[in-house]
Amino acid sequence: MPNFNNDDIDIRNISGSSFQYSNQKLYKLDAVEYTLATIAVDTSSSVQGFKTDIKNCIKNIIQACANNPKAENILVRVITFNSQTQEVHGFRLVSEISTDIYDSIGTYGMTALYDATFSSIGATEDFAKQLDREVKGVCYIITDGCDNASSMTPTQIKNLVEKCIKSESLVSFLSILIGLTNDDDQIVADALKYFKTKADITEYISYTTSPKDIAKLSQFISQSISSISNSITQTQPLSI
Amino acid sequence: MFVDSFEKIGHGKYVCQDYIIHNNSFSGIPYTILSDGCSSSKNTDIGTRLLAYTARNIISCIYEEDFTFYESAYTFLGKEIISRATNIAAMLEIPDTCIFDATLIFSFKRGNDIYVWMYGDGYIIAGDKNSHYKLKVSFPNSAPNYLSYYLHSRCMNEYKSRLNPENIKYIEDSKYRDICTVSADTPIVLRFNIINDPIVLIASDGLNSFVCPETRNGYSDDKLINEILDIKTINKNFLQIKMRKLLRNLSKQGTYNYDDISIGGYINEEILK
Repeated sequence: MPNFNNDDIDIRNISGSSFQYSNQKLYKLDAVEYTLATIAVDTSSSVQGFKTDIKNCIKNIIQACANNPKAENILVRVITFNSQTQEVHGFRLVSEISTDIYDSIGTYGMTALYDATFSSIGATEDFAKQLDREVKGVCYIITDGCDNASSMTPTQIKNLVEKCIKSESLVSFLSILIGLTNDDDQIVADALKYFKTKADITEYISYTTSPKDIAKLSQFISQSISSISNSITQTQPLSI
Repeated sequence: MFVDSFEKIGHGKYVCQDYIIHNNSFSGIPYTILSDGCSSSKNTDIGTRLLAYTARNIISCIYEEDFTFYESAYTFLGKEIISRATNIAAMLEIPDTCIFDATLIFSFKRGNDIYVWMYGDGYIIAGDKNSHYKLKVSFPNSAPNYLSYYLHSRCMNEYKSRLNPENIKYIEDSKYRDICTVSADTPIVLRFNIINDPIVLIASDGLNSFVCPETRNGYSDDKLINEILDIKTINKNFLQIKMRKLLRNLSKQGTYNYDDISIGGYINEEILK
């Protein structure tokens, strides 16, 4: 659930669902272009063993993005999911996020992977419309297991992805499913790849649950956000 | 009140010869100034920059004068700007005055009034999305009366004898149905009230250069102006946000600006809220 007790934010509904998201007030956002990055993190009970590494991963991503020359153009939303989805914070300028907020993340319950994916992509699509300027969207969904608690389906997610791609509000959109799987998790890995295909998610990549790999994951995500935010949007074709 | 500007190179061009500057406060004066360089003359991209900044400095000299002075001193100001810019170019050891084969539209705000001067061709637009005033100035053979011609009488005479023998320009003023013809050196100095006209814009003639290369259909400048005035996001980047979105949508339709486009202006957010 978004944090309602904050005058600094707006709360909005994601159409086609009962999900909500929050964002920093629009009047504070006056740049010409923005990158909307959503990080959805599995906090089901199976993640307990590497919970601290995951928290540090998110903190490192935020700190790296805050040092990006285009930090004033990057808005980040972080949600966690187990039996339900919870918004840790809504779309907020990365330079204004205090990483202490991630210390409160706990692990318990099942895995509402599809709901989290829907919430991530749906909020990106809707907020891009609200911003009404050049917006690049990217969603990272990090999970170590298959879905077993969602109300949304891969087909609904696929329809939402199509909406994002066709959206006039988004100049680019990427969705990346990240599986935290070890060698003996082939069934999970296969199920996640199947979900990626069914839901038309852009990319699936996998990392192990070792601290070293999770640290690499934070590097990958922060470099990816940097690359997307620094990319030039073309309004004319390159060829003459 | 916000002031903003936007420029984009023409499709297929290598150098943008339009130049536009704006500031919410230069010596306390909000302004926006553009210059459109002749694509057939060399290094006009340098000339347009020098002209824009020279005009900016002139503004602080004339800021306290009244409107009758502005109208009467039109030619004097034009000569003063080109003279100063030429001196700066000479100091930089750039001898060719053809770098100043360029138009100039400069404007500033004083109180609730926006003052606009136009040398050459271009657009002045005032109003909002529901109704607006448009002034479009153009010249025969697309050959404007450039500021460089003010330097020497022989340049002006050559312009009058060769490029524009009738020495005229065309004024498309939205107050009148027909296009008027006036002498090429008729002063164009206008004043608008930012309360009555919450959006005031100046633009180069690139506004009239949108074409779809596949169908060869031009995109009407009136249609473009209506879309520009429909500003939804009002902040310090209101024009950049609007123009980038508009050009992106036009490019999806296969329509591009074939000349450089520069547009700048003022928006009164209190009226439009």
